[in-house]
Amino acid sequence: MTTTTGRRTAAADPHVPIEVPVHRPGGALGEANPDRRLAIDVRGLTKRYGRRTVVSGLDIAVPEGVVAGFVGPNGAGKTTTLRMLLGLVRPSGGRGTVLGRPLHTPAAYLPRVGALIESPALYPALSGARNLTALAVLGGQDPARVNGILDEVGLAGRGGDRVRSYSLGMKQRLAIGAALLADPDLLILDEPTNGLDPTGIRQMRELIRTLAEAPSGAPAASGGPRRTRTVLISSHLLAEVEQICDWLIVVEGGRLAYQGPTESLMATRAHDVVLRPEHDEDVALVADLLAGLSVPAVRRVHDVVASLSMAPDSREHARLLAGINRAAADRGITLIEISPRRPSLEDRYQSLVAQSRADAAVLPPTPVTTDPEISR
Amino acid sequence: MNLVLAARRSFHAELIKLWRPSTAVAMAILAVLSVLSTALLFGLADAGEPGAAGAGGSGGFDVTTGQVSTAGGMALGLTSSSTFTGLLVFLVFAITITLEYSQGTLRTLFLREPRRLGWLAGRMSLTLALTAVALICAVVLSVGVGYVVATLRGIDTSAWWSADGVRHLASGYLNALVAAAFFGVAGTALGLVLRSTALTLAVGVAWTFPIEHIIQESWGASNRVLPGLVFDAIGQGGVSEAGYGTALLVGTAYALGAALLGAITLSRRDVTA
Repeated sequence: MTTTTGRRTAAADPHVPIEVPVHRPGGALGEANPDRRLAIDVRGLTKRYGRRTVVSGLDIAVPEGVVAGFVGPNGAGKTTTLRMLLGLVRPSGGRGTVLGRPLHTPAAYLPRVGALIESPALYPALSGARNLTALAVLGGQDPARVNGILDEVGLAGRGGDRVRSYSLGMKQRLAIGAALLADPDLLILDEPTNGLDPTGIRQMRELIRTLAEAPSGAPAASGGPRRTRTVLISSHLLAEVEQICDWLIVVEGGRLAYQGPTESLMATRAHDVVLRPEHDEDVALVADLLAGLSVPAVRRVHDVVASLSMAPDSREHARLLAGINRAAADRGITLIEISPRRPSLEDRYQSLVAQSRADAAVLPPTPVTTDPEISR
Repeated sequence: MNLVLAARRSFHAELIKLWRPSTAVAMAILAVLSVLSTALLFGLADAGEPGAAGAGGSGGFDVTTGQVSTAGGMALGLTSSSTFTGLLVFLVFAITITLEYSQGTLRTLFLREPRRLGWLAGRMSLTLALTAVALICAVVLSVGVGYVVATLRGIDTSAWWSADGVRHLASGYLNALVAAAFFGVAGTALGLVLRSTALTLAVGVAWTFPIEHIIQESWGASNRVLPGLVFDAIGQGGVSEAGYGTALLVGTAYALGAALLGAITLSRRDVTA
């Protein structure tokens, strides 16, 4: 199911809204699975502090069972958005549901949500186990789960130590352990790798993957239904997001710049192709050859980077590369490398942010939710 | 019903959190204050009959050995330290609530228990219960030290153990507890409004001590109007300028107002810490 919740009309006049199809997550995922439910479905989420709008009419739709990345520059409104979803901050506007319960009744859905917001906030004078026990009792969970959770987050041997003796990575893991106390259907992690060293980042990535793959709910042996766990991660580390997340939400200046499957965002038609001749002195000839074919290219020391606009898996693309290879051979040039270079998430992210800023400069504050398959 | 459940869970969770050194330190300070106050009061009491001049009221250090030997003598140590007890309770309540903001633990707590008023009710119940227990310990210590000092000074304490003596002690304890609870509610409310430990302590201590006492010097009615002085009057079982009934009425109004302010602040305000 693909629904259009709003369109903006492109026009030179900045007062006329630009029409952009709004993609709801039923699109890419829902065609295969039209009954797929949304773990988070909020519309027009807004937060104002006085005259300053921090989050502006944000539409978020996260299907159940995905690992969703929530990315945007500093000050884009990510943490405020997460706080609104978690009932810590009262929205100035907007409505919707989290795990099927109304956004304005966090007490109804928070027992099924685990979250780590910003830095881990725990009692330094208490041991890790006692921190978790106090939180379990407060949330009405079974304190007997604490030892198992400490084991799950890799702190089994340190549970009795005071938290003030923990490293930052250990505190992060303990905070994630606190988020797991409810065996949550929705796990929200705000910058979980912030401040960690490369080893800590890798461990955290593995932990998140494990948590995302583990179903939530009571184990089958106890007769309770197993449910699908959804993970929403806010992060600055786009390489991490690219590796972990299969759903992406990009915000800029409090507005939505993209929302949809990560693979849709990455499946752009425009890409580069690296052409490398056997001998460096042939680089100039290859560049001339491409110029003759009207292909934009950048000459480098050992190779030439051509910018192509067609899809990398299209027949047109294959024909063009074959033609270039034959033309080079006709001129006595042997190409030892012809390799398409896939744009990184960072490349796509930068162009999205630039596009969003350009939109914001000419548009009234209307939320834009786009999917590249439809609009780009 | 949900709020009651939240309050019960909060009470038990806070009980687990109490198992840390700072709890013992706070209780030890209360005990030391009580013991010190009683030892000084009884040790420095002027020789004289119960009705003799020089006693500056039931709560002052300016008492006679005659007053110490009465049935109410056993409670004198407790009432004389009620001002300091109130201040200590105010500080402890203010510090613990503002630390939840500065450490960011308030958001961790509200993620597990979003019913904020239930959480606050459970927490206040536990801290007030702890205050009641700590005050019982202080009473026991105060009576013990008082008895030793009185015996050393040759003061007759036989009246202490009469029914009237026990009644005086019980009412002294209840007055001290009510005053401490009101100070605690005020400290919590101020902490919830200001959210900063340093600011809360600065405002609270500055108001309760220098400012109120400066006003007291020039305005006789201040004892039954200004909150710190009113709470203090309750702890002392009433003072000459503010009878017990008046102090209790005004103090209760202040405490209810503070509780309402704290509850509204906590439930309405965004948690950004």
